[in-house]
Amino acid sequence: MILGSGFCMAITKKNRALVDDAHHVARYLKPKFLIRDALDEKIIGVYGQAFELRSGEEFLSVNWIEYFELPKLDALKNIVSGMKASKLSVSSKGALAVANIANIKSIGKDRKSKIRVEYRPTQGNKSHSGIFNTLNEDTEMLDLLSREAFSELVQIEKLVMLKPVGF
Amino acid sequence: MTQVLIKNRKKGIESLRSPSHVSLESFTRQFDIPVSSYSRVISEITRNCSGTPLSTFSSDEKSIREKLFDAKAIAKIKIAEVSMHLDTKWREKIFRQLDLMHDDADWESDDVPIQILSIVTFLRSLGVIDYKKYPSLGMSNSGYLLAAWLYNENRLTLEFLPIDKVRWVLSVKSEDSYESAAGETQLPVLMSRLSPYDPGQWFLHGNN
Repeated sequence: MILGSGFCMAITKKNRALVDDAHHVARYLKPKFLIRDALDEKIIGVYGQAFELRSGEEFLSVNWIEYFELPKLDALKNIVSGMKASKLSVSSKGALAVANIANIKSIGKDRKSKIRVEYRPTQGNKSHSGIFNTLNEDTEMLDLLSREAFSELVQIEKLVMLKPVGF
Repeated sequence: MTQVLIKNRKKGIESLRSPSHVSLESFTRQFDIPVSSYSRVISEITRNCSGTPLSTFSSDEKSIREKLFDAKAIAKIKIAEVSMHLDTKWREKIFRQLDLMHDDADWESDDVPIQILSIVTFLRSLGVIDYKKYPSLGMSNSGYLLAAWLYNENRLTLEFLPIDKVRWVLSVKSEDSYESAAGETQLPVLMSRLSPYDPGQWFLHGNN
């Protein structure tokens, strides 16, 4: 079952169901994964290593943006609130990286891996989802994810000043 | 092809000589190699120094902030061993970025601080490659130093692993598409691996 299909249909949210390719996910990136300009101020890119699975991880943690059925900025604010509600630390120097699911899967296809995105809510982090079948040993895949999929970056310090909507 | 300046050392070059089947002559064939006293100092940093003490992070007596301070201090002390040969601006940038990488605001219990053996490989690379442009620095989950250079839409990323090993990945724009390549190699032959992609665009003319 694919969640969120169709513009006019209400988005159904079933645990472990696939999220629609037309939708988007956001991944929180710690400051150490961000490429900055010469003055270390503006974020201009992301290291591929930001998409490595850590030891024991089954999937890459992300948040489903369309879950909230809100404008993107409001959804991102809610994502940050959700992370904090689940006791996940968020640094103001970090960023959210946004990607379209179809783009993510396209990279997987190019690199011969069937990437999928599943809805995996947790207590307090209702939009939590997972990207499955990325390959730590495929440095080029990780680099492609960082450059071509997760290319839209929103700094946390610009989000946290604003109150979440409908959370 | 753009000439890339690679530092040579009259003294201590044996410490960076690659396995016997890659002679120094073949490594230098395509590049000018100016002699530099700076690189002589770099060669004195042995690649086999002791790693980041685990006791730094295993102690329960200190707060996360204190532990991170200690880990950064160890790294900065190692960098300070050659700091007199580093441009002041670049030394300050490295220290500033080390601070950014070790932000206690989102530090988790299983996060790994910067590894000294990675710093050592990075410092030794300064004796091989004359970085005219400062990279942006980051850190992997394993605590290895990352460096990125951007030139227009072309990007090169290096990950400095222990004992002179470097993992690299690059992408260059070619007409309407990107060409990418990746590898893991020893420091002495890194430039020969990168040479088909005109590494001078990053090291000599890149901008962040």
